[in-house]
Amino acid sequence: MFHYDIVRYKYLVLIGFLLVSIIGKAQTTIGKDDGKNGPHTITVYVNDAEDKSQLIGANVIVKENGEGDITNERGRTRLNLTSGNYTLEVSYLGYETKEEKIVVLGKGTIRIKLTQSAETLEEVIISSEGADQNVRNTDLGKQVMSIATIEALPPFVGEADILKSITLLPGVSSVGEASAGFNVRGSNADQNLILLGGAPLYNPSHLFGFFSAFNTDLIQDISIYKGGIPANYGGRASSIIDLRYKRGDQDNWGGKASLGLVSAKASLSGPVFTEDLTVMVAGRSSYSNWILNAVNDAAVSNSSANFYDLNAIVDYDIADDFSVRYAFYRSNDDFSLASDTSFTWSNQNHTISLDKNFGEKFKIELSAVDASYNFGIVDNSPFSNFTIDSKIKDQGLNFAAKYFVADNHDISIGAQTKLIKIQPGDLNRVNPESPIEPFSVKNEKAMESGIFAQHNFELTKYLGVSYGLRYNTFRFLGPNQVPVYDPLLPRNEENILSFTEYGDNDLITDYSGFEPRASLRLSMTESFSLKFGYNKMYQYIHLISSTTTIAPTDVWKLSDTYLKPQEVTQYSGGLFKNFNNNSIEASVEVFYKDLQNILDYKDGATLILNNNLESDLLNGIGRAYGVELYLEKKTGNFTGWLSYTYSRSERKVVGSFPEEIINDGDWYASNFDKPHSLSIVGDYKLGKRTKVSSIFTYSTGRPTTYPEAKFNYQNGTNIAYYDNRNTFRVPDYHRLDLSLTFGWDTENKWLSGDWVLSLYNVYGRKNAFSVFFDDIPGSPPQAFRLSVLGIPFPSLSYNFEF
Amino acid sequence: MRLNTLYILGFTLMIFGLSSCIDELNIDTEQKRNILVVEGMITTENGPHKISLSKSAKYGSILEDDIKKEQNATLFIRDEVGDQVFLTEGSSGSYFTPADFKAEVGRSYTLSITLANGERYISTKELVPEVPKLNSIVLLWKKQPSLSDIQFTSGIEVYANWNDPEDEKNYYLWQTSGLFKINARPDLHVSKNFFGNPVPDPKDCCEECYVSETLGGLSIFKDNLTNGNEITHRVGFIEDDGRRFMDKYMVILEQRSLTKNAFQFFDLLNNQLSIQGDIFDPPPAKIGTNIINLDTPDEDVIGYFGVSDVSRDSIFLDNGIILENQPSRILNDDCRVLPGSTTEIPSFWN
Amino acid sequence: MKSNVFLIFSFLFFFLACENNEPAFEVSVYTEEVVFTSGEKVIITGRVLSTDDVNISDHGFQISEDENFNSPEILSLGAKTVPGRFVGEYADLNIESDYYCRAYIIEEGSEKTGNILPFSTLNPRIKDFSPKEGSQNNKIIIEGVNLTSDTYVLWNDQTITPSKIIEESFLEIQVPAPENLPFATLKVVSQGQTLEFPDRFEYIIGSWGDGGSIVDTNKNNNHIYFEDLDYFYYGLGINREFNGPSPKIFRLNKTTLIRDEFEHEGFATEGSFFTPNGYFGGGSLSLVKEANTTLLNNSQFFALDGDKTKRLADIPALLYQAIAFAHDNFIYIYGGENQGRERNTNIYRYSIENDFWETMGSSPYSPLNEYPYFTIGNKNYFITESGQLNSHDILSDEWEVHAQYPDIVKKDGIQVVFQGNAYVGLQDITRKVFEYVPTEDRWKKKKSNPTLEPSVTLGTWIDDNQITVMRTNSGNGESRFFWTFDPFFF
Repeated sequence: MFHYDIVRYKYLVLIGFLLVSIIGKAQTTIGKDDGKNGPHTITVYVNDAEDKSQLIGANVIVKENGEGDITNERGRTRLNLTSGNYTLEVSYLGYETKEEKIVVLGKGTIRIKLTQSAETLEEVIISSEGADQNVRNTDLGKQVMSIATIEALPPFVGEADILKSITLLPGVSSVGEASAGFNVRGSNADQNLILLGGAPLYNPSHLFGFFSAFNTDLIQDISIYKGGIPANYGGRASSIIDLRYKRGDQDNWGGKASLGLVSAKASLSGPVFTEDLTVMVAGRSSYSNWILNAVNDAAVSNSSANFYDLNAIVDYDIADDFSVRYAFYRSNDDFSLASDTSFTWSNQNHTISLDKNFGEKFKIELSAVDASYNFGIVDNSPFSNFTIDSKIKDQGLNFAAKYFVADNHDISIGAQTKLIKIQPGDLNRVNPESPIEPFSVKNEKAMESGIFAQHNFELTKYLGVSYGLRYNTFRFLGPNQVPVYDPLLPRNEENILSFTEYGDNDLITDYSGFEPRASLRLSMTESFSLKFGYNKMYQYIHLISSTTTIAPTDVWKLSDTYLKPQEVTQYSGGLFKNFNNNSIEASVEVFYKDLQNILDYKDGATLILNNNLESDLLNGIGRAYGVELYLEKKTGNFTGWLSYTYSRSERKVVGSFPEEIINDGDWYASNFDKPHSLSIVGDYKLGKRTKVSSIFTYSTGRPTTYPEAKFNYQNGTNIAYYDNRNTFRVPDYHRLDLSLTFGWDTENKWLSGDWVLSLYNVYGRKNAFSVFFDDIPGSPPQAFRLSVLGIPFPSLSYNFEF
Repeated sequence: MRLNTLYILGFTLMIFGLSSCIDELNIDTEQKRNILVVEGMITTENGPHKISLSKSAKYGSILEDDIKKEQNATLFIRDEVGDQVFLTEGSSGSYFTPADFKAEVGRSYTLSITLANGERYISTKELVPEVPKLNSIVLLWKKQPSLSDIQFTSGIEVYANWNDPEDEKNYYLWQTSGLFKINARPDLHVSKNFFGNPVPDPKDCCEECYVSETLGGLSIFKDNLTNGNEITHRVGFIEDDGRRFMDKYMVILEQRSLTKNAFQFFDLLNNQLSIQGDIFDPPPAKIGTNIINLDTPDEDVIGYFGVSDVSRDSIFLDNGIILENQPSRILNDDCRVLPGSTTEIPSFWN
Repeated sequence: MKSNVFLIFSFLFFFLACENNEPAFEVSVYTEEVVFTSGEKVIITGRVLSTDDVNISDHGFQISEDENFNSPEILSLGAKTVPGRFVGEYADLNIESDYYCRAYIIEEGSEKTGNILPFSTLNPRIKDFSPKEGSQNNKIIIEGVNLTSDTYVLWNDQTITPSKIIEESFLEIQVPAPENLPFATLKVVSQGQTLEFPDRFEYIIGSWGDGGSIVDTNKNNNHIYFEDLDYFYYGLGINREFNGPSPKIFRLNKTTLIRDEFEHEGFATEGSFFTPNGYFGGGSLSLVKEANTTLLNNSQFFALDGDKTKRLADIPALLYQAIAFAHDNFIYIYGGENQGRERNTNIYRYSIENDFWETMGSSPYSPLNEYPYFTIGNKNYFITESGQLNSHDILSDEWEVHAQYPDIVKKDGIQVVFQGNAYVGLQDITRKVFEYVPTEDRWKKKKSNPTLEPSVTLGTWIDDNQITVMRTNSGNGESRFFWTFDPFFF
């Protein structure tokens, strides 16, 4: 039914706009003849013929004169040609090489589409960069995943999931199945900056972490920066997950749809009036409420577990060297239970970006971002109903200029500023008779700004450096009421001596600091290099959570008088070696991280609706270190990778009072310290449209706290006594997933989609999400294991294009 | 406000036709610590008030290590002007104040303990806060959501209603107990013969009993979000077990005051009791105490010596509010076999 | 390398950072809580605050009555290497004083002190002592609060050092020998403050002496006894030999203990009433075995008359186990049972002058003579089975309830009035004797009879300065033992 609506919509759109779309010609004429001979700047875009994704690093050569270049990260390159007839040869690994005849009359643009090479059945998994980029560039701790890679993995409940997929990469882990956050190189989940089309995302999940809140159909690729983070990124202390949108189809209208067990999604894109203006819209929605409504019990059928997300992207090339993009994103979750509580949360982002080139050497980018995250709880308990609303508003302006000095030599500078406003929680009553007194946790406001400069430079073939400096300022602004605590006593409500009042926009406190970043490459041979990196980052916003993962009840908090910015310094190094003509990539990376001012919480901390959150928080330090091994086979019928990580992530919290000391002030394992982590991903092509994929993943069980004793209280109930945190581990985690993808080629394009049959947790391993202790009458007090998906779980989805 | 999170998880998975599962896990906690555990509260009602002393044991079955009661200790409770009462030892580590001893609102008390081995402990000073009077007890019938039409959990939710005083911070604890009449069928009693086969074994007595029970569960509350208002707060749930509501049920509610520190202790205890293994779980926390070892003050102690004012009320359940009864479970035995039962009609019955 | 890159960077450095450099955490000390105060003792907790191990050569508390801590008391707890809580206990303070305390540490030779907490020591108070009566070397527990360790007791101004002071609340002392008074005033002195109990301690006094013994084969009980000058008379009652009422009355020379039979012409009865001065009558002619037996009461009434008895006017009722009192020229009769075993509530009065009986109204209850009774002044006293002491004032005709008898009431004990006080006890086989002081309406314990064998009391007579009690073994013994008792000897 959902796809039926999309179909109708598609026809409406088609009637309106199909007439004006450009039909491909055998020979393409570029530009208008203005009588000048040139040279004219010809912009060449290279796209995948099927999914329209931009191909980065494709080789474009003018056969007539042998000139050529590689497409950049927008899948674009520029040629300077005088008027005349030319043949462009465009090649890209895993694609059929294409020759395109062009007639150049003036300045203009050409779009060349490559189809994947069917004969060799080769598919490139890491597709966005050149085949030997991993060895040749100075990037360290960076991983790029294409959507094709993610979609090739066995899906979870019929959905390709970006966040779950990246945890298969070395150095990235998550605490368990039902968890939204992920941890990069031993850092907290909130230290990851997730940028969707340039806008930050505060809650990247649907349904309490079961699904990622992204529609993969719109995503071009995902860059994960674990280390060696360029200076243009800032604000989070550990990693950057940069999800880039595709551009809408410039040729004709088409789309994709996918039906899964729980949700369906569809996307549609095409040009409007001209190929310079493209629109891409996408939507995804769950239909879980239908399932709920089928249950007889009134309370259950009145429940709701709904989510949706929507995207709209408009690109307009005002001129060849000037483009503008508007992107809209909204995700929404509504979860109300048969019980009296309901949760809603939503992200909503608007992004406008301008991209202007000044000649070949210089370009500027300007963008404005408006991101918001809302979260609400409604409690309809009899007699004492209430609502809690919280909001984050993040509005920013970004400017960057890049100067291409030469090939492999560029300098960028830029500035970023944003205003963050947090409404941590507004409590209200639903009915006037509720005894709840309306209450607002004091709102927070801050201005976070940064300027940066980055210099990427290949000195010789054997030595490349990339370094940058970022300078941040963070200004925590009024209005606010800041408590002054007795310095001798533990921070709590009783020990507040007075309050300092600040008016609107008064500066309460500020922090600033330099963040130097550097990486260095030493190439031994063409296919072997050694890299070193250093970077430092500050973080001024904190996710205050006492749960092991990002939960909707968590609180975001800005650095203030008491909460110092988190500070992470990372040292890393790596060996990169490609074999077999770049078809096998191998790397070994090591890292050491020093974390300062990380937060932990006191026992029994109250995080929600707490006006003096600092009194429940603890300040600590952390360290993380590890070795990451990565081996990937990129071509052939069999592709896949193996990643193994040995890493440790530890924390230390020592305060002056017993409640401010964790584990006697010794180092202790963080919640996500999993020393051994192994992922093996394999993909085997059986036919052109039939393949088998598998994932095997293993990791050490995550740390947990076991009781040190039991005691009787409350009518003889045996209660566990805990003292030191995280001194034990849940049993090791391992799991195998398999999937089979197949499709028929038929005349009817609705029927010629791909069926994906997958089996999650093939051998039904009861992986412990948690181990807890309980005294249930009738048996001795003992440990219990909660397995989220302790059985083999099959799912089926159908994906098709139109 | 904490929701039943395991329920969420189960529910979420149900949507997908999945089932999460909880199973026993054989783990040796390897830990064994014998920490002094002090449990007890004195109230403004007549005693005897009980203080229990025990030592914690290894987490595991009784066979491995059992909780030992701490016997032959000397305990006394002392107020701020120096008046003190000594506690007398009852059975198994329980110590009792004199029956005429009651705490007074506005006074502060400390508990002193000297264990049989000579270790000395003292509690911090606990000031008895006044508890507002209960206005009324509200009872609502509640059916828990269930995927089955036949099997479901239902029962009576108990709400306390009171006027919270405006000019102070109040912390509350409730103790719900019940008294009900049960009609049994001793004439249908069956016992097993030598071969283990059931044979009729009617008993002469007794058909009617009055059973008193203390309902478990810890219910605490603080007024930070509702200060100064008339509050109706859920304080307990009495499950319909097919027996309780057969005849007449009386709900007895004690509303107690807590100090802030006592509240924090019970809050942590409550957290501990609510851990179910899911993502919303509060992390395990160290249970605190207000008891200090005088010689090694950093020693860990578990438990809280509490002082409390009490307001008490009771109400008969109107069976008319029960919309769906659970199938009744008639007791085919002498009704006196039920714990807490007596054939004597309580004086306040009817 | 392009120099413009460095230009950019040097431009950036103009934004000079003002990073908030946190000063290194200094070791500090914090006075946490005064958890305990009493008269002389205080328990204080403090904390050493540090995020690292510490090197403290001494730590503890300073206590001073002066807020500026001039020459404070030092409670030193010694060196300390790890931060954390510490507890100090100081027990050398003055009562009822205001103090200030603060924790201190000495780190690398320099002293740091914590915040100042004021506290006040409490005043000692006394509550009670027990037992209130006793003998030399008995233990007495004095209950009070905040009794300091120097506390002593003034026992009639004699200083006694407590053998134990328990939790500053209980003093244990030993009763010294009485000096010249049979009681003692108790004062408790704590740090010079003297607290006096309003109640006195009473010594349990009295002295028992062996008054000799005689052989008497007549074993009887439920009998009568009285005295006259040199002689003590006893008789009637149940004779266990022939298991019936006895007609005999014996006369015993108080000094020589020579016994002879006395001439009496009345019926053989048991359960007759009698007065100490020799008036007796009533009782049953039959042997009363069970509660519902019909009685064969008689109405004969006699008085001792030299070496015989003389019969007087018959009693206007047939009474068994009634109680008789003698007052000047009158004999009063209370209670008893009639033939049908109904209880009598009439009060009868006999006028010796007129040999005449009359009814004087009624009693609120009907006593039997097996429970103690005695007369002091105008009041006739009865002790009920439950130990309640009632009195009837024969002049005002008022009934009163007095101090409860301090022991379980049993039958057939002594009930003698001596020098204005009544002595009750030695009932059945008990050895205890209590003194009733009507002026104080109070019972006092007296020295118990030293008999170890179970004995029963048969009668008492009074000499100048002592009471003589005739007792016999509770078994079938044929001996009568005489005990002399001086209630005031100590």
